[in-house]
Amino acid sequence: MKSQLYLVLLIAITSACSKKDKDITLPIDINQRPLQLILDESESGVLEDEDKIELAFTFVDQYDTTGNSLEGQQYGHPSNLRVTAQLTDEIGFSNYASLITGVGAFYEIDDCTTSDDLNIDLNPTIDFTNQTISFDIPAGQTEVIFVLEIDPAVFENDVIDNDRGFSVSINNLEGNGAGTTVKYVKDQTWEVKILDDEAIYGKWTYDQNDPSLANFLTLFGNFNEDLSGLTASDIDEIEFEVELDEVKVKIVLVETEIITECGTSEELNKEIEIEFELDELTDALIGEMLLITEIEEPSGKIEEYEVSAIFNINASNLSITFTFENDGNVIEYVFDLTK
Amino acid sequence: MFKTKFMFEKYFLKFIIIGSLIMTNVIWSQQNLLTGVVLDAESKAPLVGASVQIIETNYQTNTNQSGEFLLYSNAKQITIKTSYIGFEAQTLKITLGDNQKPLIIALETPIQELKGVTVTGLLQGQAKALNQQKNSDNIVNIVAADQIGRFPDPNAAEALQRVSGVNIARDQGEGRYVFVRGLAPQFTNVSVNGEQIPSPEADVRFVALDAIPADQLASMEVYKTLTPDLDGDAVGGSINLVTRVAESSQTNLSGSIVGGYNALMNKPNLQGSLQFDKRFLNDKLGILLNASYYHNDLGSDNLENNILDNEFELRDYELTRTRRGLSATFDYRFNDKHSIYLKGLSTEFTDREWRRRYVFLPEDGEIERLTKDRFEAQSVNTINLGGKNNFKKFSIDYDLQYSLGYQDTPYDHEAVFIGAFDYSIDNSDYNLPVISNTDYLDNSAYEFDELEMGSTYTKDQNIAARINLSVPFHTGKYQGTIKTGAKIRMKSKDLVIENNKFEALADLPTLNEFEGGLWDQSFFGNAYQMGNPLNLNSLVSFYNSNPEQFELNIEDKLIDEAVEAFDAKEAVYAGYLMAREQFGKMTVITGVRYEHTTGVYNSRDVVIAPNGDLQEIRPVTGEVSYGFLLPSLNLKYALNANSNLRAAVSTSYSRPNFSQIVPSQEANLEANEASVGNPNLKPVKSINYDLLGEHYFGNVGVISGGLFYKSLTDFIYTRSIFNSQYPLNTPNPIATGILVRQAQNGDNAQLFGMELNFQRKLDFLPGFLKATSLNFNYTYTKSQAILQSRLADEDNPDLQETITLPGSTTHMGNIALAYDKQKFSMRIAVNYNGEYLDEVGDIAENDLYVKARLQLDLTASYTINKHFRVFVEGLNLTNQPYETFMGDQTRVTQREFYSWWSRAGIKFKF
Repeated sequence: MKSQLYLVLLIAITSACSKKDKDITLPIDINQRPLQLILDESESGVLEDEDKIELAFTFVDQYDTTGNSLEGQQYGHPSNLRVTAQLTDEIGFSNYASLITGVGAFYEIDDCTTSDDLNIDLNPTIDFTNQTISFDIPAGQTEVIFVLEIDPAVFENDVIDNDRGFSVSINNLEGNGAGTTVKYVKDQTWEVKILDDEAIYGKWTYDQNDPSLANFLTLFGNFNEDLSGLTASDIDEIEFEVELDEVKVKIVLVETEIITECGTSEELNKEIEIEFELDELTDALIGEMLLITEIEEPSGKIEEYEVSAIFNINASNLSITFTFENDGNVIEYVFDLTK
Repeated sequence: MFKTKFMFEKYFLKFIIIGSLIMTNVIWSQQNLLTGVVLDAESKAPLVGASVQIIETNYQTNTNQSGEFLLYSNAKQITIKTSYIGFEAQTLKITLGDNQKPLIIALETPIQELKGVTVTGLLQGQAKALNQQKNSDNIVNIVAADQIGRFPDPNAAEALQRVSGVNIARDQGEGRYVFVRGLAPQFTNVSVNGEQIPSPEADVRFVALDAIPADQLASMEVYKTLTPDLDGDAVGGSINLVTRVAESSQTNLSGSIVGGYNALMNKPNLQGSLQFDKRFLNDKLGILLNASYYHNDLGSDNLENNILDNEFELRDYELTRTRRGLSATFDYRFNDKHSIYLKGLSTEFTDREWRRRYVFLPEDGEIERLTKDRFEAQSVNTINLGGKNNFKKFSIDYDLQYSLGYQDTPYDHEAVFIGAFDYSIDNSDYNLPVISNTDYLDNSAYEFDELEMGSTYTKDQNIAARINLSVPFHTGKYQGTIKTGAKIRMKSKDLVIENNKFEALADLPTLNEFEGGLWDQSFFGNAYQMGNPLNLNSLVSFYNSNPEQFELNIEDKLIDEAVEAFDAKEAVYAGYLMAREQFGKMTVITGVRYEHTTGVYNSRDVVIAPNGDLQEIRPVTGEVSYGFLLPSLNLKYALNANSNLRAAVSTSYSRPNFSQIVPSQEANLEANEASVGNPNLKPVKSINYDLLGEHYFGNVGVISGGLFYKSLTDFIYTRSIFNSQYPLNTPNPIATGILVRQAQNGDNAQLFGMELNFQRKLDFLPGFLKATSLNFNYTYTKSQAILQSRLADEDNPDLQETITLPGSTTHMGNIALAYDKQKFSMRIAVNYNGEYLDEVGDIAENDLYVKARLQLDLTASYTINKHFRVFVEGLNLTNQPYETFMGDQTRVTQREFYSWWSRAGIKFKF
């Protein structure tokens, strides 16, 4: 019997030595993770003559345990919450009290209705002393947009200055469950940049009667086949809009269509819009930029195209040379636009 | 595509009926049954594998693990001759009675080392193995437990590398997978006590033999030719691991206590085993209990070159491995004719791995730091209930087995930090690339990139039942046996996985804020500095306290979990009929086996949309049904009592791995690529030819030489299908012009080889050299496989090329020189594996090879008295690394060093 005892002891001793549980920290269960409140962007740009700045506060998509949603599911918190965010790093203005004339907050109920339409008050406030803004997130809501009404006179001028703006970061969250079932993302900053419309930013107009229209349509027709066959008489207006990270080319046609939206019908000019991601922009009156766009081929495959550009701004005139490579051919297109 | 179910039941029933009719014709012709046991005259230990022959009919049988034999005879007066290598043969004239008592035959030996267990006991195991080998109907190599103990081999794979024709793949320096005759592990089946065991690993069928401690085994049998009573799914060979049984009514308590040292880690290792065995109730009831444990802290220093992408890696491994084995055997002998048994084996192999990597990406100006902490437990558990009944006119044996294999990875964590640096790598010598500066050691420069945490659990269960019926017969003056049997095996296997990958939502602390842990200050022989590592626990603690700072990558989670998880059910039904007859010196074993397999596999397809988003995850099922008729012929011609010529022709097959057959698909329409499982994949079929000559020396040794040739059809390889639709074989594809990769059949392969084997005590040498002995084996293999050419494209999709079989090495062998003088024994062993193709690259220049490796081990022991023996062992004394290269040997892709390790201990036996 002694030998059996030795065997049992041997088993008992040896079962403890695999180092499975030694010096290991296991993560919290995936289903125990809190809801995460986050600023929806890391940066945004607002033209200097704008009169409001919108900041979106949203919840990060969560893993859908039902498996129905492959991208994840956005959930709201079951209790009301109060969010406070800090305004910091102001550049190009003296204080927030001189910049911000009012605040508001709303959430979208559907494409046509917001909480404002239903007179739902989210109690938006601003504390100029502590440089904080606050608002409510009602139970179940997944996103709230906070509005800063600003005085355009603070930034609007004729001087070129792209080094203006401020930052926002969430610094407090109150409500039932705050700090446990719902948390905000710390150290995340939304940088608001004031864009100078004396520089490349803003809307530029291209004259459709310019002799280079055919080239214009040829270049941008590579990215939207609706441009094929158009002539100057078909076009009402062409806009080239430069935002912080995006360029939009909008061709407004003479032809109109009836647009029904939110129960209202309106006759509007037809529009063709091509969007580009803006990369490698030189922040000067003379510089370069890279435009990137994606097109879905008939096969369903997504193809990426790049167009490089060199620009020269002289007062309200923009001369821009686009270079595009297609099937091994590199072609340059030069256009003049005005503001 | 689904196959219609083959109506095997109809053919199976016919097979049984025909077999029974044949047996009925011969049953009544036999009248006399003789049983007995063959013992060592001095120690009374049973002699396993002894030959017992009826001189008048030349009919011969072998003793079993308990030294027992059974003979049928038509005549009442017979002369039996009993022989055993190393012992003097004995001839007895017997008159058989109606109530014949069992015969006890005691053999004497002139060899000092074989006289009981009072001297060393080392040669007894070898004698047992060689006797079994000599008297076997198949070409088989047998390694006995005592022989295993002569080498410093902690697990079954390491012990098998000493067998001719066997090479092993290692993991962290320890043997893990077995290649028999140059064929990859999936071509060899592994059994415990005659029944296949499940693989704990998810994707494959073959068993990682490092999970099984060598201490648990009585012997290992490597069958290189098959007879119809063996499972037919073994193209390379069939390995049977035999657990121990109680042999004596004396109480036996034996074991070992071993301690050692790992030079790389500067840490000790330890091992222990304890066995109790005894036969009770007048030797009727045998109880054997065995436990073993092995603990090793090991590590490796690894350098890898990704030549195609100009990347370079340093990897530092630290591991703790344990092996726990428990086995128990209960057997009850009602009398000399009827017995039952209950055998169990439980093994658990655990592996806690810490891995620290630097990945140098000079073209991106970046360096990645990856830190991994993973625990994995693999377990194989089997329980067998069976018995044997010998009647006057026939004998029957049966076995029921339940086996469970699982692999549990409760956590597998890896963190990635990335830093931007200005540096370069000088690759002029891939053996030791030079980094231009040591800026990479600055932990504050590394920013968080990703944290991956997951777990997996794989379970594989088999329930098997078999029954065999043997009936003696005679034709003229010759005697033989007809044997028939049936087997059923039901398998279920499934893998569940959870995988979570997190990225940062905001700036997180840099790596220096999470420093800590073991700092390897002499990495790669001080050729490189590894720096203060990341303490993964510190990062996970930060994650637990700040989960809101991390975003779960939901799409990756869904994709990883969908593609890898599966469940499978298989059923195998087998039956056979074989005859064994001796015509004078010629023994003929021939017959046919039929095996039918049905399977159902469930998994999920993943489709990535053209814009890169996850488009769909959908369940998918595949079914298979196939059968094989496997005839075989084994011939053995006894030139004399100790010399045989053998020839064999047999057919066999190997099933595809689960990773190839489970119908999950991952289609990335953004990249225009898809990988697709293939439930219609056919098993590889083989016709095997063998020729062998062997001579056994009287002082317990052997010399043998043989040739073998295998012709494989439906060889499996990964085929690229250009410009394909997706899914395949549907009228409504969701995409076209896709490159699809899928395991497919269709090509042939051939393998030719030669084996030489020599074991002998060199007692013909003068003086002190008399005590030396030499073990030598060498195997040469040459293979070729015909595959779709790597140069095939849309215009020439059917272009073919010829390559060597992956895993097949041209030269491999073992040399061991031993000195055994009275109480002292010493052995130097060299194991050599030639280089072999490991992975087929996109072009021939990028094929990945494992470099030839030669390992030197040393064992020495001293027997203090009949109870105690002390020993010391050293492994990998020349610090042989594991190395790979791409195309040619100057393009080194990996070098992994383990250093040497040693053990010293005591073995005891009471």
